[in-house]
Amino acid sequence: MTPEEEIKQLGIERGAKLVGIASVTDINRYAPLGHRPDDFLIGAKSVIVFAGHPVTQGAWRSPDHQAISANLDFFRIRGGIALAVAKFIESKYGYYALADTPPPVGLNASLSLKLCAEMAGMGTRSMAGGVILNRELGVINLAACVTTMPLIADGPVKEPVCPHPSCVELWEKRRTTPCLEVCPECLSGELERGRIKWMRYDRRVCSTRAQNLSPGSFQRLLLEGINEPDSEVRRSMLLGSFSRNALQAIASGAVVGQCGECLRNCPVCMRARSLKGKNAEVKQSVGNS
Amino acid sequence: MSKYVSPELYHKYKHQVLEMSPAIQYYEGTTLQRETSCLTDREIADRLGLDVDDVTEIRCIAEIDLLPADAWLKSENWKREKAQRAFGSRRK
Repeated sequence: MTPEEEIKQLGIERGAKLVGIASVTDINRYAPLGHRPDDFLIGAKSVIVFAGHPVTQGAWRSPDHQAISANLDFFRIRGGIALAVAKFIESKYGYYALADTPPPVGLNASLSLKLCAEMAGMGTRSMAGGVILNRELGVINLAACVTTMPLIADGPVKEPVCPHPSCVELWEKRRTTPCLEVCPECLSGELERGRIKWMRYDRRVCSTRAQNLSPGSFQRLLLEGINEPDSEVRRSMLLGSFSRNALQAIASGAVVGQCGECLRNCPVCMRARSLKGKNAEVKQSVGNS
Repeated sequence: MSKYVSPELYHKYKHQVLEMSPAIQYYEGTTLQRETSCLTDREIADRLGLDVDDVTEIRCIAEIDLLPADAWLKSENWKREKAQRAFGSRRK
């Protein structure tokens, strides 16, 4: 087994659905100064990227919107996977490794995990805010381990996952796609000859949805509350359910990934979410036993 | 934290800094364009002739401050409606 295979296997054993390797050289072609892997680990050569489902598949089948944030999946385990692999690389191979990069400052990430995943061949950018779509897994949640160990990189995939052929058909008929249709406030763009021609993503609006219960919403609520002259209104603002839920989310650390409406009707994600095939396999194996 | 930004500096640059930041992301094909927006705090500071710590503070405040105060509450209602509508016909 090669070191690359061994590392990937460990990631899978620890709970990742997919593991890819990107070279720092590839990442640095696109990442601006200050946001490159070797800005955080001197001499970094490789980034190992781990992916999993953002939420359980059942969360998409709940009429309660809070099921999404209550059922975060890979987000809850990704840190442990990256840490296990970082420690494995340091102890077995003697190369330095980071299990994470510094936290975001405001809404700006220190290192773009989307870029790392692209360079690790785990998927391509989608019309839905540029999130990475994987052909089999749909939308993926990500973690990364940065290391000084030189590893053979997987490299970007050649054929884009987005747009799906059914989205191209819809575009030709109605000049829209499922993601653009559901969230025109965050997303806009055009397809041309079956490819994304251009796209625009408004992170400001998206952050109020995907980070609805978060430090940002709580900070703003607090400011509004402090400035509110009417004590009765102030009590309602600060002791109400929204501020309480925001605090609960902050306390549990689950303050991101709280919306996925742009991907609810994405055909790539819908196929990935379906359990029908797996169900049939299980039924068959039970029947054969 | 590095320092508090002065109110004068904040009000003078808040819109400009936010527009130059990754608040709006524009792609040609699937390639992110970074000529006028999606810039790092350092790049914004260099273009505006500001201290990078000031740009970081202005951006962080503007990311929250320049949205309507009820934006998060409206977003929660928006998500509630979307989830309910997705299963509406089945639940009637």
